[in-house]
Amino acid sequence: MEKIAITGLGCISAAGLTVDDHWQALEKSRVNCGAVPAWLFSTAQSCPVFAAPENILTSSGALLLAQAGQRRSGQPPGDQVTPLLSRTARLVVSAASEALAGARLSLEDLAGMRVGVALGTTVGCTFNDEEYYHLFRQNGRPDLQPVRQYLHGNLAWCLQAVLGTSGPASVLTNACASGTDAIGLAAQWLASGMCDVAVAGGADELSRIAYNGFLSLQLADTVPCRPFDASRQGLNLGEGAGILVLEREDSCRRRGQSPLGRLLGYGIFSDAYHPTAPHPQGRGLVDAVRFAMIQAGHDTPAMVNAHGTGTKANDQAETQALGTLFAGKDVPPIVSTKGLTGHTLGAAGGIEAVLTLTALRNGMVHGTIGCRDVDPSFAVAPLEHGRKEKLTGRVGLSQSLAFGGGNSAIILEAC
Amino acid sequence: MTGITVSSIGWAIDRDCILPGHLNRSLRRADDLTKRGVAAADLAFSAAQERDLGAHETGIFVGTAFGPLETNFRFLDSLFDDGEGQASPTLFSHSVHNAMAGYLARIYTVHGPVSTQTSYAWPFLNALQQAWGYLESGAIKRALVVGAEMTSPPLEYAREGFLQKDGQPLCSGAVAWIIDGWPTASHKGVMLRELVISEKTADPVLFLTREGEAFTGAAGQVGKPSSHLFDYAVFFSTEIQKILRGEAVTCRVKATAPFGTAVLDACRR
Repeated sequence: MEKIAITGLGCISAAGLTVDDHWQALEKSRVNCGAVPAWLFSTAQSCPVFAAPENILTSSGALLLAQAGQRRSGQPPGDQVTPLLSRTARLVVSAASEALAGARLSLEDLAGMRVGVALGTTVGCTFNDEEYYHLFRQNGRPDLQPVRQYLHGNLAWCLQAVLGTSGPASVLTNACASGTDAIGLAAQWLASGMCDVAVAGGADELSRIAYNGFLSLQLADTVPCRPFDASRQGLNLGEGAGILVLEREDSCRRRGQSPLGRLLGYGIFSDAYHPTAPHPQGRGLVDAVRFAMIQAGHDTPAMVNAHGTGTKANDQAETQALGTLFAGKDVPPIVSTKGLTGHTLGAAGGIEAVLTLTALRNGMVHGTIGCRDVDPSFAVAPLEHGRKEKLTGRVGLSQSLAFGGGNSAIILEAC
Repeated sequence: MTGITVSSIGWAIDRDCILPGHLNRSLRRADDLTKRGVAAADLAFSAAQERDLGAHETGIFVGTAFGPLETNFRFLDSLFDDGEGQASPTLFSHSVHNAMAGYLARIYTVHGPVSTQTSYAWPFLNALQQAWGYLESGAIKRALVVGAEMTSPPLEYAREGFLQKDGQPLCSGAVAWIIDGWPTASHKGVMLRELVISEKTADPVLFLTREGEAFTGAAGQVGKPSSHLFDYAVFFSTEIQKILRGEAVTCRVKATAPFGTAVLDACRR
């Protein structure tokens, strides 16, 4: 695969509003996990969540919307667009604004380019307006505004409309691997010349439907999650967005922009095993990582950002797969960042790509928040809470497993 | 790689949908969307040339605008009626957009890339574009590309409200194309030459009403208006199948709408 440059990063979640917020939160093991806030939705259930702030439109996100509004109408910025943006779309705008600012790409710059937008999501593509449906099933005639907002809510379409750009646009709905797969798809577009620059990653908001869905599957923990811990009992849902700006190397050089990193490889393979559980030996993940590593031309990464949800099945299968992959080799530090952000579903792949590259650039990785006693049955031992390790290389692996049997892996290199 | 080729097409549209009996057990918990997707895929696989391929050499690419929306509402029913803590886990796991893709991978033992895309304009064509890239790169040798939608009364109510009239009811349906990447030019089928999708900003309500959408096919300027959101997939499949049946040699299928244009150029191999 042609090396793809990463020139911008943006990240928002319960851990903070910027990439730097997330790194500081990792440094301090600062966890923002608690009961579902009342302003989000009402529930009698007690499983904690990782909720981002009520107002998740950052100042840079608001500025981007204002600039976009001015470009469209030439009028002083109004607020015609913002009310129609779903919470997930606002997360996208906030993270994308940070990433584009870091890449030094203004709306004027983008106007002269073919811009790809590839975003992963799960909640962000479903119709979540319970009041609408409640009225409908009572033979009422609900107002259509929720449907209008839903139709307005395709994330890629939304971001293209905000940026005023044209180019390939896709929303990947591969469950928990959506964000990783969106990044992989964007890289393929760039390599094939379909666009000059791409904004890629994932986003998802907390919803009562998903919350109760995971409860019904008995996959949620009643305390803050403990990925890889012997006592782990499940995941906690979170929300957020992780966005990368990707370009071909020649585009970077022309703009005089130094890349933050590179995407060296991407693998996607299916377990074809079970609707919700991973293959016990993680066979699809082994395939995905091997493929990505071969593409990248690297044998062993300096670190692994695992999917690490905190469920019994995922963490067991994932460490089994990593044991297979690193058999006979030095095992790199393996961490999960879901103890910091919760499981952000479609956003996870995007957020974890951002955090992986940030760790590589800092030459250091933090142990898994919430993992104080690694499960002794694992084939490999992830890095525990409170520990830090200096990285011996600048290439890392970020991987995702998903409902439906999807497995995805990306190889990143820090510049 | 001398071009990607549509080898067969399968259909499962409304009352024409016959679920394959040998898959009854596998589909016993599946929702309507998945059943139609599998039915269409089964027909497509049956009609395609058999190939000796490894499980990793086939990929599955699904495009759907609203996915298992009605299953999502069924899950809400269980939440409203049975309460928190008692909602149906089966319905929830089937309400994720890629549930159908997971079924297809399991039933046909596909270990290659499996992906679902969601857009409101022409998601089946987005999935086709993604499959095209994988075939051209040589990462896979065969792709199953599926477009599918399911009826949903709450969405139908909204569509009629936006149209301010009764429209043709939304249909449940799926189309499935088997596309092969052949190393030589000697294989029969429909060679795909170019696919261009260009979307633009428009009133998003049009994604549901499809007002202003029209199609042009092998017969020239037809300007057939669209009647529902799955019409484009049916039209494109119909035009390509004409070539598969020997009724046409080339076609340039086009969809135009206030939200953009999509053009597929193809010819008989």
